[in-house]
Amino acid sequence: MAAFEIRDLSFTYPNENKPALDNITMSIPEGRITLICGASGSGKSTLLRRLKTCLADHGKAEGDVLFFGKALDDIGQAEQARRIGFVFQHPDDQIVTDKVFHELAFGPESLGWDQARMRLAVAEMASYFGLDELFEKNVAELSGGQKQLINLASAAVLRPDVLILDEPTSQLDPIAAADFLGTLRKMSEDLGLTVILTEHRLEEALPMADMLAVLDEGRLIAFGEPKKTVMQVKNSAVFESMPAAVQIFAAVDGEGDAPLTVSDARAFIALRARTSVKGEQPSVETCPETAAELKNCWFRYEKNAPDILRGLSLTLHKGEIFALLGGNGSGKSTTAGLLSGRLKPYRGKVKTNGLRVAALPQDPRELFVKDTVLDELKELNPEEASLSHVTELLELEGVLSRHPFDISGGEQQRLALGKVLLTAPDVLLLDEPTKGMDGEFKRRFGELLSRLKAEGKTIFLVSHDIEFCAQCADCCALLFRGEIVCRSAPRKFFSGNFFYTTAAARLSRGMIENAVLTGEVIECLKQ
Amino acid sequence: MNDAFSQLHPAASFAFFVAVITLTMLYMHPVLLIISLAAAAGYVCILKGARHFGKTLIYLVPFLIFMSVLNALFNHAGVTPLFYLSNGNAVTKEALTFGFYASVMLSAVILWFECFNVVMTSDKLLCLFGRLSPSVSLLLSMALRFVPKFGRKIRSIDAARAQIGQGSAQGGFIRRVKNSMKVLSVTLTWALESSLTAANSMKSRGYGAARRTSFSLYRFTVRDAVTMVLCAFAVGVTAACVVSGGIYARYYPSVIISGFGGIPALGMAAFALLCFLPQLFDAKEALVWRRLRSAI
Amino acid sequence: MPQTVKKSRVTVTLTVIVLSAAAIAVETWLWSSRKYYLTSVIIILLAMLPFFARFEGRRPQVREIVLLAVMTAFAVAGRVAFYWAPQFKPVCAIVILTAAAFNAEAGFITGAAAGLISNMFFGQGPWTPWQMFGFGLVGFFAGVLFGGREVKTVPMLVYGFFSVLIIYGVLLDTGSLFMYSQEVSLKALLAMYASGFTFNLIHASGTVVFLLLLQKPVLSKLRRIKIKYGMLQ
Repeated sequence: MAAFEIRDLSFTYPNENKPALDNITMSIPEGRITLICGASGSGKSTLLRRLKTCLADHGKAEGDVLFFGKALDDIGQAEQARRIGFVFQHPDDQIVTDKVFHELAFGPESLGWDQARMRLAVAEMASYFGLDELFEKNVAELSGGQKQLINLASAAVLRPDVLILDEPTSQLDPIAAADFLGTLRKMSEDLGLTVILTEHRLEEALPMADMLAVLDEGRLIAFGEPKKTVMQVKNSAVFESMPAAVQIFAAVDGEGDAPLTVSDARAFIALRARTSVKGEQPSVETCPETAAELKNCWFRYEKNAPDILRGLSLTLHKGEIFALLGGNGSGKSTTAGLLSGRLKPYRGKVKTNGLRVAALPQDPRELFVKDTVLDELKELNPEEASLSHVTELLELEGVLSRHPFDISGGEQQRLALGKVLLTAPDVLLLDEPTKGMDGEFKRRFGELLSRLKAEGKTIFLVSHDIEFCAQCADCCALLFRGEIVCRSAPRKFFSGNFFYTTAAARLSRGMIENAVLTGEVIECLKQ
Repeated sequence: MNDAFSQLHPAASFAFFVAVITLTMLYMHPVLLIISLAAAAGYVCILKGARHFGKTLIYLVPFLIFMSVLNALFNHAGVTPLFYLSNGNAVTKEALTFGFYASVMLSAVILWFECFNVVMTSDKLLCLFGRLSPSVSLLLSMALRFVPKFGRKIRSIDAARAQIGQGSAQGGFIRRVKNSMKVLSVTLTWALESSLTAANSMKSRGYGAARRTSFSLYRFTVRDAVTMVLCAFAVGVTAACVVSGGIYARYYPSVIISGFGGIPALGMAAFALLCFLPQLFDAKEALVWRRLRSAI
Repeated sequence: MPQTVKKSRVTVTLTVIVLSAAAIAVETWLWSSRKYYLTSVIIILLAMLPFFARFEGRRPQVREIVLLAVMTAFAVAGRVAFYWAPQFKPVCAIVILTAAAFNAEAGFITGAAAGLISNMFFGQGPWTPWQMFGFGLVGFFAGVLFGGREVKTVPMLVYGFFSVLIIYGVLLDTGSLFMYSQEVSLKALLAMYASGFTFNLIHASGTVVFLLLLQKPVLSKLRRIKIKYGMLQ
């Protein structure tokens, strides 16, 4: 039986003409993982929220949603709350109480369960998720990944039939994201739970999905088994976000089922790889002039805390895009803090040669105080010329009269960048700029960085996003335990790494030398 | 800290503190006050260590002296003048005595509150509220969750705005006030906006779909019941001794303090039982452990 | 459902009546034996009870409880922004603005909750009930005066100044006197107010500055969020 039967569902937001969902018909199978993907604004979240009455947006809706054969609207709030679990995007915002155990108990409390039943449900969930250690902790002490796990557990504690997750890993670092998806998959397998999931990071999510639905501008353009479905959407915007394996397969006109995992893709590439060496060794021109420099810097947050940076030295050349990679807690953000002057090393030197250094916050909304985008830019009293230059450079013309909190995530980031640029910095520091962005946004953001570079800005980028750094950076460095262990041009950097490298490099290792970007692998295969 | 008493059910712990603090404030009898002060000091040492207690003394002792002197200087009631001030007012023995015991009372209350703050964690207070009023308890729990979250956000927004020259530590006083207000303003926008997700997450988990119950980490056991009965018994005996006139203290116009007979001794013993209840618990536990260990 | 609501309301009313009667009996005895602090705390707790009982009794909607929790936490956490000027405390200003944007009940609940929560971070003491009641009353009267109406700046600043100086300041000073002294006379009270005046004046002026600079942004943000929550049509 289908968990959800969606029939001719259309939905239009108030004051909009174009429907956000356009005549969607699909049947979501029970006990399977269904992945819904689509570019930003394709209606993924809107669709998910229509699957639970209390979350459905206001607006004009047509069509039917059946939940296990019964019209969803005829099912009471309490029953829906119990049977349909929902996990949202921001791990931090959906936690409402101060303690882990209280958060787990929130659902049972709301549904008025008695003490004995609550105790059992909560204990069971905490044991299943291995939360014993965290049970009495303050939520504030948890990492993003742990928080999202708590959110999953507190939805699962009601023993739902269906679990719906709206981009649950978009705010997590790659390792926490993989952990989260792993747990989700295990749960689905252990319990035969129906899972409906949207994701923009498809590299990990796609191989675990049983069904794939692709949305484009509110329409369902493909639905079915992933390895077949991916090939039907070759020409849509969402294809940019597909795993490297799928993109390569499609670009060289592979036949049959698309490879979704690294091993499948390697088998495919082994068949097709005729040239084994990619030609020229890259030559990156770095302007010898130094923009900023850290010399043998040591840093810790408190006198008795462990050192975060241990003798870090790093040179930033003028006009380059420098990417600093590394795991959580390796000291990436701290390094940016030293460059911005916000933090001071207790030993060592930071030299910025009189250049203005400005950092863009990870959450762009931290800079917004006004009611419109235009006022936001004007807050810094810029000259007319620089204002219009920035507006044009960042493509903000269309949204000048909107509220800064109502524009899309990509636009918010460009607006925040605009505000920072209006203070005329020479060196820009970006902390995880591509967090939560889909493939298309990332490409546009990369293009924007090249434009800024062309204007002579030096850009320092802290990121987990290997693919993005490989694509955009002039120089990459790996930070580990407060020290730089490797620093070179991206091609050398990523082709030399074994684990910490791009998907394309992993797919083609040993078959195509020096290939780092998906496009390069495709080119070699086409030769 | 391995204190058996603080592992009781919140209702029992709360009842204990209410009883002990109320009685301490209610009867200004020197013996009762000193019992209370000694017990409170002992319990602070158990909960926070003798070193912490030493630190507390550094401000408590001067405060004690200051309060008694202050009372003597401003209050001239009493019949036994010790000496006269330059303005002709008398400093009396009664005022000095009363001032001293009033500050003993206050010190005891302050120390009991120190213990209260260790034993009655926010979880326990919320558990008590949760029984009485699930909605208020939820409101408080959410606010407790938001305070550190907002505090961190304020710092992070401040750092972000400092990058565009609008930080709270930049510029003159007026600029700084304005910049800090802007930081607050941004925080509020962000807080309200993210509250939409919180609201959705609550609705999704059934808030409002049924009458709320309240999850509790704690179980009310026989031990808790016994504690509460003991508290009630001690309070009853003490109060009876006071009401019957057995325990009596008067400071003005002259100091009269009841002596030691059967009834006062009974009342004081009951009060001591109440005040030293935590120590008794710990002692019992220690004995049990010793026996267990010697059995091995 | 309405049956249980009614039932709980009856229970609450009855409890309040019984408790009040008992308390009045105890209080007359206590007051006559000059136990001012205990008497006043019992009165304060009883005075706060109906507000919380009413809030509980009508089973607040999600958006109410979320918004009040946000405003409470904001009032408490706000002082972090003024780490460089610790005598600047925004609690009263935020409570007044919350009351103006919603109503007297919201003002009281936010104020009282902020008092309790801030003491959960800085340590409870004999002053806790007084602070809760003080902040609560500042919010309550703000709601009575400005709640749901078009807000004019000057009256609100005036209210902010005097409510802090008179309602909050006097209440807390009275509380301190009851706490520290067993001898309560008009003279002692006046002496206490005089010694607390400078402190209260700083607090009141700070509140005026907060109101002056935060009034417009906070009220407009609250209006915006009310629209998003569908509380205004």
